[in-house]
Amino acid sequence: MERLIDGPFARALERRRDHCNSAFAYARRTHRRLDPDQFSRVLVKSVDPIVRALAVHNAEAVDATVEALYDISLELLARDCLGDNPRYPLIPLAWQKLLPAAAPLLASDPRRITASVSNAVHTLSLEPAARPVEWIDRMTAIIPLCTGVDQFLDAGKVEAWRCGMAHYRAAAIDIWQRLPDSLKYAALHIDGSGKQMSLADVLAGLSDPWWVPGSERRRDREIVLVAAAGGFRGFGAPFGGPFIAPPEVTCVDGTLYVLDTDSCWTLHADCFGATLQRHGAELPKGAGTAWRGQYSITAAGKVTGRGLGASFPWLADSSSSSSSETTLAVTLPRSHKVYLVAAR
Amino acid sequence: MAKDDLQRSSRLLSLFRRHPSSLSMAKHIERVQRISESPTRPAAAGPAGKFDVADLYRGPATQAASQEEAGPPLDEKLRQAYFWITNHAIISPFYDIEYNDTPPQRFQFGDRKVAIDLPSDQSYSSYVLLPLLNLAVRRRCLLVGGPGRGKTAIAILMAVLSGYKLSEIRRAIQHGQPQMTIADLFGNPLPSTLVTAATMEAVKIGWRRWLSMRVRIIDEYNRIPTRTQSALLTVMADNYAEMYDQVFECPEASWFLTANDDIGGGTYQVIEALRDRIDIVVKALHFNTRFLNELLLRIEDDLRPEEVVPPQVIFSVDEIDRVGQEIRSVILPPPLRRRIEFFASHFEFFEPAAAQMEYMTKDTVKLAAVDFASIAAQSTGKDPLADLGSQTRNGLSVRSLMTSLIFVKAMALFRGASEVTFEDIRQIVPFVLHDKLVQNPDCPVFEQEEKKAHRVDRISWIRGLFDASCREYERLNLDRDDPLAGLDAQFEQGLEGVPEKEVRTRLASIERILREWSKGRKLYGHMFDDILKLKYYHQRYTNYLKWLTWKG
Repeated sequence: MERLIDGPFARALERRRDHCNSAFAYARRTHRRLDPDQFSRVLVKSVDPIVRALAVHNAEAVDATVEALYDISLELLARDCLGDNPRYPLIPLAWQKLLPAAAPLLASDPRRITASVSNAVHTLSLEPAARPVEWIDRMTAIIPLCTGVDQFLDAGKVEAWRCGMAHYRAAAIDIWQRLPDSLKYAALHIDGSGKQMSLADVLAGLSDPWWVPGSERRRDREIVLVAAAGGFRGFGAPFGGPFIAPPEVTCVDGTLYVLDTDSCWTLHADCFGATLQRHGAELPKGAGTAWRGQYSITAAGKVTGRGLGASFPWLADSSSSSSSETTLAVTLPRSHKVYLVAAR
Repeated sequence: MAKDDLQRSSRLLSLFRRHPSSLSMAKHIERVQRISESPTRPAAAGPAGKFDVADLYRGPATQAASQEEAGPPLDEKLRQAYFWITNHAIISPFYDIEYNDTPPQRFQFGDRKVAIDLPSDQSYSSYVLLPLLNLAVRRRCLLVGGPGRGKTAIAILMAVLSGYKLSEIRRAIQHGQPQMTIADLFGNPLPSTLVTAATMEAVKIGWRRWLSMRVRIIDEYNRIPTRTQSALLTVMADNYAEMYDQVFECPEASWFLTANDDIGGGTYQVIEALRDRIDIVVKALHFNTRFLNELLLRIEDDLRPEEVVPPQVIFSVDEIDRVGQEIRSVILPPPLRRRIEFFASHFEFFEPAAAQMEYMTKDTVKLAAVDFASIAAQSTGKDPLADLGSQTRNGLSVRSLMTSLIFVKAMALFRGASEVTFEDIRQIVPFVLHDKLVQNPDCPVFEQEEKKAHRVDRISWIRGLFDASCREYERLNLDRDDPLAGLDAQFEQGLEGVPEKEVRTRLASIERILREWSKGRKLYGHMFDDILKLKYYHQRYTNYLKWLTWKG
């Protein structure tokens, strides 16, 4: 039997009845498939727990929060992001797990937090290399350390990078430096209790994208395969990659670019993940000019760089290779993947 | 399931199921409620954007625009607000502010060949657009029209767009009524201080909340008693309220006043000073009966647009401030400024009013309390059909000219332009001058068959005046051959360092122009202003010459 709405949420709905009725009626004019029963279930499953949690912390903020939650849940249902069969199933998870935990912050700006969390999970869900479930868990964990909405959302950006959004790296490190110390450690999942690693050491370590924050910085580094990105676009799942043909790589001004017969992407990779961001149809200006990175690979598959060397026979006869300051990207004639090699 | 639970469940579902027919009815509607995600006035595509970590929080859930790290440009936000209102809030399917980038298709109907043009560029409903521009420039807008046409509704929407809650707005609306006192309008002295106060300064006033709001709505302002109107005037004109020697300084605000007719003839005659403070007049157009189904659906669905204004079209105080700054920085190109000058110059000049040229104005007649018609009857030999000034009983005040300038700039910004265009002026000026230019009903022009409607339809009348003025401007070839242009440019360089010989040359050229014009037989408004400006230059140069001579 379905649970019913009662308690503070039911009372707030009564008080905001005019708004709720009009908002639903308007939404249904646009989205004719909008089903009141399904919306009722969204309110019960996703909104009610948040309101209950909020009422404990700040009963006075319930009405304004209900209005924001109601509007956004309606909007997300209309876009198939909430409901019985959402296109992004992790958005309901964030509503049921993260937002109730965020109740102490929610009252100060319910619309902003709710929309931001929903949008963040949506963005992470669209990125194959990202780990949205991990993001929800980590954000839930750091809420007690956040003193305000801005801090919470800033930490969310750092966590998004930490959960696979490698292209956010530079901006996220900037934001990370502005966080309070306790959040700095938590956001990078470093044990800060014993202060075994100073923040200055962490910052220095972050200059190497393949250093895992919190881990010891090795002196006896070796060249290894650090990641593989991309894949065959094919016919959708289970392939799900971006390339229609085996790609090739090049480096322009220190940025790695990947090109297939259709499009061009920038490649971003670090210890947290590797992402491809669509650049357009062509390489940027300056492509083709010599760029000497730190690594090179021979036809036999021997990689050298930074005074180190390693053999990768299966990377022999590569179709292209190019190196940035930190990473060598290699493609093979019969593979839709880009293989990344670096010292770690 | 417990009985209580069942009751609660049915109560919740009733929120969505007020009418069993609404779902099937809704199937017949194809409208877009959302704010357009595409630009409302598409421009050429810019360079491809780079990714940004702030993108993490952009997605299907709408944030308030001011909360996004980079909201849309403010002109785009204004247009989004406009289109949301016209598409979803106010049923105003009119495009009476017309823009064309290619000649419009025209169709004519009936014996009188009544024309309708199909605009080829984005056009607008004045009833929605002008209140929105008024909100942006924080001026005073009068909404006129019969009862039940949505005048108060659009005013309330403007307040919602300014971020106020509905309950707050409803409490703050001042409803004009014949018993309205100054205390009703401003507030009351606190009884405790009234008893104990030894001086007037010690009396504390409980000021009404609406005085501190950024949007002020006065419903049916022509039902307010005359004495209370005077008190209202101080707030409208000078932004302060005064009671018991206590002064309340009000913040800058946009005003929305409503009246059931546009001559102020409600229960009380509106005092002239108050009417003069109205910056723009907007007429509530009729309800197009072809949209009755829309009304039906609203009733059935219990829709209240003001309850669901999208957060991304709500403006913060800071945003309204910035819109105002952006509007002021819109450029009015000098050739267009000259068109406005030329247009405005027709109306004040009134040859029979005085013996000395400076006093030959309609204001002289008004101040003398002499019947305008009797003086106007004195023949000056001018063709009243050609003399645009003959169609009015007054000229344009400084205030009305300033208002015209700010609203044409606002119109340009709304269309995403950095410069005012000719059409911006042509479209906006009639609404600003609607209550400013007083028609002279005795002018023979209005006896012409095609101009008879202008006695009633002031928007078309003023637009017609502007068009006629522009035709005259072009006939005189003033864009290329403005006799004062050279003198203006010289004078703008300043007098410092101008040698005596050059001053004498300039004086001679001023006298030459005046001599040339004096050969003509008729004197028109635009010449009147030009002649007086030449006199001004002549005097400035004469004084400067005297100073040069004295200095040796």
